[in-house]
Amino acid sequence: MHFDRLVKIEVYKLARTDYYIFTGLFVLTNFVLPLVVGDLLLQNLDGQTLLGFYHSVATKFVFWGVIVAASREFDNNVNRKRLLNGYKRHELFISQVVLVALYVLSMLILAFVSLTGLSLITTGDFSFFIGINAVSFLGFFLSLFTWGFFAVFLVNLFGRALWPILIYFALVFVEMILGLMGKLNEAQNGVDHLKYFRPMELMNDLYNLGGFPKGLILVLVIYLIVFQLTSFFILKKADI
Amino acid sequence: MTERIISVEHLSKRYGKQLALNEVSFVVEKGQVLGVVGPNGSGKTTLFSILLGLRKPNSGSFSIFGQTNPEDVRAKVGVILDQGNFYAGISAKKNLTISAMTKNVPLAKVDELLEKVGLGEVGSKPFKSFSYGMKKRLEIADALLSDPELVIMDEPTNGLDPEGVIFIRELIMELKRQGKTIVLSSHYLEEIQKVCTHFLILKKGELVFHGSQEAVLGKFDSLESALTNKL
Repeated sequence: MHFDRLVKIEVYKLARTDYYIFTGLFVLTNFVLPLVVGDLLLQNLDGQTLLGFYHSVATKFVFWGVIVAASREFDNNVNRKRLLNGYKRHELFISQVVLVALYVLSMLILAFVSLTGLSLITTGDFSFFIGINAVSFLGFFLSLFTWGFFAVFLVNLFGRALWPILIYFALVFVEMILGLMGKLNEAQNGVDHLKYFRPMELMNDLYNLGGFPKGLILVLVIYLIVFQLTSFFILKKADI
Repeated sequence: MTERIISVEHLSKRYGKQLALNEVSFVVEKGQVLGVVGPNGSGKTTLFSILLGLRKPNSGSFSIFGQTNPEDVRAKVGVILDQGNFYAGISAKKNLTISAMTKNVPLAKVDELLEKVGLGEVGSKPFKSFSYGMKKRLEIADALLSDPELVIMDEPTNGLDPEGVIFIRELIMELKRQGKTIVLSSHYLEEIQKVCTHFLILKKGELVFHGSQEAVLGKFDSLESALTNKL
């Protein structure tokens, strides 16, 4: 199947209620909400601060959006139908990457539009963009991708949406415990060795790409390779 | 010389210790309507899954249209499985449009086929709201989108009302007239006898008979006695 056809199909499938809910909520939280409580919220805000806020919201929306959309392919044995209709197994994997890219792109466009709108409304110009540095933007972009890949990894591993959701909350709890233990270690020995075992925290911290230690980038890359290779081999080898 | 559509040689499949198919070999030629019959657990679905590339055999080989990888001949094969594997929350039309885009078929065929299977008026309703018979009809429309040369049907009449059974029978007869090759499985022996030119009988993964309708009825009184006979 040609790549452009594969993309067209993913775009066509995207137009569903859950996608409109996620993007609508994003606009609501990042544009309408700051406007409504404008004086309260925007007085001391700048583009960089807003980008940080957008990042924290967008990662969640990419993660949950991709889980809902990707798990739909496992419901009702839809992946079997896709194979029978002409998808090759590796194209199931590529379609998931396209899905993640579409969600990330949607969030980036909406973040850009929200930032532009807020900047024009509150300052009358584009000054919110002045304070944003390119490295932060790159970190924002990469962090969204890592969350998207993490979501498809969980879906491929567990199938339907319910399990990835439960596993996510279990991991949040585990990382919280590991975080507390890490802090304790850091207080005693000056080093938090457990940070390598908190992938979700690493994915969030990627936003601060400028100050992200090289060693942790390597660990995160290893996590991503594991996520993607596992997804690829599950789709390539599993009886569907 | 008659064109070979499916060629299976010494195909075996195990699930753990259980032998689902044992050294099964047969050939399907162009225009044949092959009925695969056998009791539950005889290996019919496993055979179909392997031919469709959904499961891998432990040993043996097979080819469809001369190709050993089913993925290479998808456009020539239409598949009707027991339950429609569609997106539950979206409309029948949107589901079929996704299939048409996947198969690179003109989107105009979507409406045409929805009408053909009698779903023209309910095409905008979500798949999950469909009755079993309607789901089956949508599955048929999906299978026929690319005008396939080979149609594989797993239990096409299972769970259908009499009207649905007649619809499937007429569809098979129409495909047969068009020179399509059909492989189908069914528990309804009387029904399958009305449409099939050839039969393949499986028992506990073993092929116990393969031949024309004349051959099976020449050897046994009926298809039912062929199945119950201890061969």
